[in-house]
Amino acid sequence: MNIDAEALDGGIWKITLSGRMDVQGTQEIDVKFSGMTAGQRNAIVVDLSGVEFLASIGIRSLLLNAKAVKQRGGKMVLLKPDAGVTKVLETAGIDTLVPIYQDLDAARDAVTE
Amino acid sequence: MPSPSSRIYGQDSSAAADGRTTPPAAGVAGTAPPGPVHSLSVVNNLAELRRMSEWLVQAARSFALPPERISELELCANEAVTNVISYAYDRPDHHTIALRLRRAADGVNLEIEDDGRPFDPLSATLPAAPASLDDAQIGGAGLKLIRGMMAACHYQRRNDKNILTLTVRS
Repeated sequence: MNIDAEALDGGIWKITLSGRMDVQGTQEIDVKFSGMTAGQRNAIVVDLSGVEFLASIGIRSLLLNAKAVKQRGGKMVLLKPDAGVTKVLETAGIDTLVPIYQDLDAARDAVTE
Repeated sequence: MPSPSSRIYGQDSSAAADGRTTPPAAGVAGTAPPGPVHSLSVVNNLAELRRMSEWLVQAARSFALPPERISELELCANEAVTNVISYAYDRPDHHTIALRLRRAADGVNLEIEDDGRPFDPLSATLPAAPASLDDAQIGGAGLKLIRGMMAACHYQRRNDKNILTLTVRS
């Protein structure tokens, strides 16, 4: 998997994940991912549009990071998962805990409101 | 009963390695409908999951399943086999997990057979849906995905083995 972070206007931190978020893929990015959500920035958008496969280990990672951000008083949302990944998030009941947005503007509003 | 998988595959004379559809020989025991059986053995190491996924996707394509159904089956197989490798064994010595994919009356069946401790993933209790992120438990999503995504699931304990059958509709 690949992971990248980018600072957007308004103090938003956009983290982009891509590849297969299975056991191996999640292990590849897990430490970096927690490092990126553990910083000063509390408004985090995680772009999932490049994630082609999401397994429960990946859900675990998303949930852990979203919890950590929330515990610091921040907010993390998910951006543009594809149809298959969206179905996985919905079936696992994650969409109600970590909101999903289809466009960046809506995601920015959600983390800065 | 002789050891794991090979003998069981061997009973199914219709199991053609190249995926051709050949009718089962007369008098073959069992209730499986005719057709090719694709089979794979993996060992209890999480590094096997990618190889399993590649095999499964390719085998499922030969049954002309829609891509979404293939992805869902791939996911649920990953979840089931991850659980077996991570939790089924008292000692982390060498174990084999056997997978068999075949046409079923109403779709395609994937059987996953392991020799770990008895565990029925279909009757295990799932954590209640949390009211908020703070209450959310980490983990447990795998079983939820298996039960929520497959058209049907079946578990049996037979000859000291767990056999989980996942069904997708074509």
